[in-house]
Amino acid sequence: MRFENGQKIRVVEPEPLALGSKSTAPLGPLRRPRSQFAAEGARNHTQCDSLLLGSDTGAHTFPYIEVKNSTAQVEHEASTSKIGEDQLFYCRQRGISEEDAVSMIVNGFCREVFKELPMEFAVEAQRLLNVSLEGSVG
Amino acid sequence: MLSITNLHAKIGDNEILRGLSLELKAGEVQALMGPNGSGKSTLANVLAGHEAYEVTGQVLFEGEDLLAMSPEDRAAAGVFLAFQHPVEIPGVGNLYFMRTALNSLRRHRGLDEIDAMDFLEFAKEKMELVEMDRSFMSRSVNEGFSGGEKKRNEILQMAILEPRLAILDETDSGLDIDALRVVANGVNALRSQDRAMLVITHHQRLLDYIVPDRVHVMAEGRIVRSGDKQLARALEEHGYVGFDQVSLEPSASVAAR
Repeated sequence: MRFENGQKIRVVEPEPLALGSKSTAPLGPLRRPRSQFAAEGARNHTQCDSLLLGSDTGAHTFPYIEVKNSTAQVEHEASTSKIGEDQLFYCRQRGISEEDAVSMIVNGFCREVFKELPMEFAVEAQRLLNVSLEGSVG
Repeated sequence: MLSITNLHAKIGDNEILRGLSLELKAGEVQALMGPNGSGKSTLANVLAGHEAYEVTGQVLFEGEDLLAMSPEDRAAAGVFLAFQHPVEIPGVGNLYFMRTALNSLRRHRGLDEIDAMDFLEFAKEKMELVEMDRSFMSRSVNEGFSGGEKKRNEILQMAILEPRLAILDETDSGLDIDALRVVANGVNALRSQDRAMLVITHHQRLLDYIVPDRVHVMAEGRIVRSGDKQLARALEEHGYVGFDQVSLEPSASVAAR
């Protein structure tokens, strides 16, 4: 699975699973379904929430799902939101600088996913997030 | 403390504030009333530094040019706005948010940051003031809060950040009588000789709890009448009829009744 700038991918996958999800072009599916035929009654929910940081950014979600067992139930959900001017103003009114406010809002957005990750991945994801945020405000 | 002279603000061609002047001294609580669309919230936003408006005129805050400052610098100088519609920030803990805000202000003022444990004690004390449950500490900022909880949360932030100038933008709107009492008690507890408050409201009801030193009526972007707390009562009885034309004289239709 891959995190791209400002995106949160949440996968709820009680086993057995058939999973195939990909967000933002152009690399092709990141994960192909496994145990495709044997998984009776497979259940999958993929959620892709994008948070836009800059005014010139965009997000495109192309769900790619292969289902090879007709008992599977597969869902894909995607949403795109922008850091709200209102949120930024609220933080700044409380004395928090614009850069810190963006970082706080993005971290909050990603927290739900990070807290599901094993510790070492969570630390790594956090580090990547901090790197990608540097210089994104200006 | 706050001196506003001939303040104009517009968005595009829409002029909302049209030459507003106001003086607010330390220790004072002044109320600002007026019909919808008279510019009350715009004034609050302009004072806090919202960038949507094109602003001219002069605003001095403790002698400094407030309009030249960024929103965060205004906050550091001691300006606090209790928002009419507090925003939700998903995933950011309420207590964490407040500690970050307080430490930002403290850094700005050259003070040491307060650590998490000390802050927790400090916050608990302040939460009692607005009768807020501990569970609000760990919930995300305003997320899933009821209208009344959001307003209490604003007053909690005011108690924690201890501003010099507090602007309360319709903090009473949408509150039931119990929540109103809690909010008003919180505000009253924060009245002090070195703090000024500007209370924006539609209703005289709030002013029964938070007794203002002075009441102003706004119409069409400026203050058209000022008086003591009796003015708020007169408004409650007669409404804003007669205040809608811009005039610095007491309006005939109200005076005649």
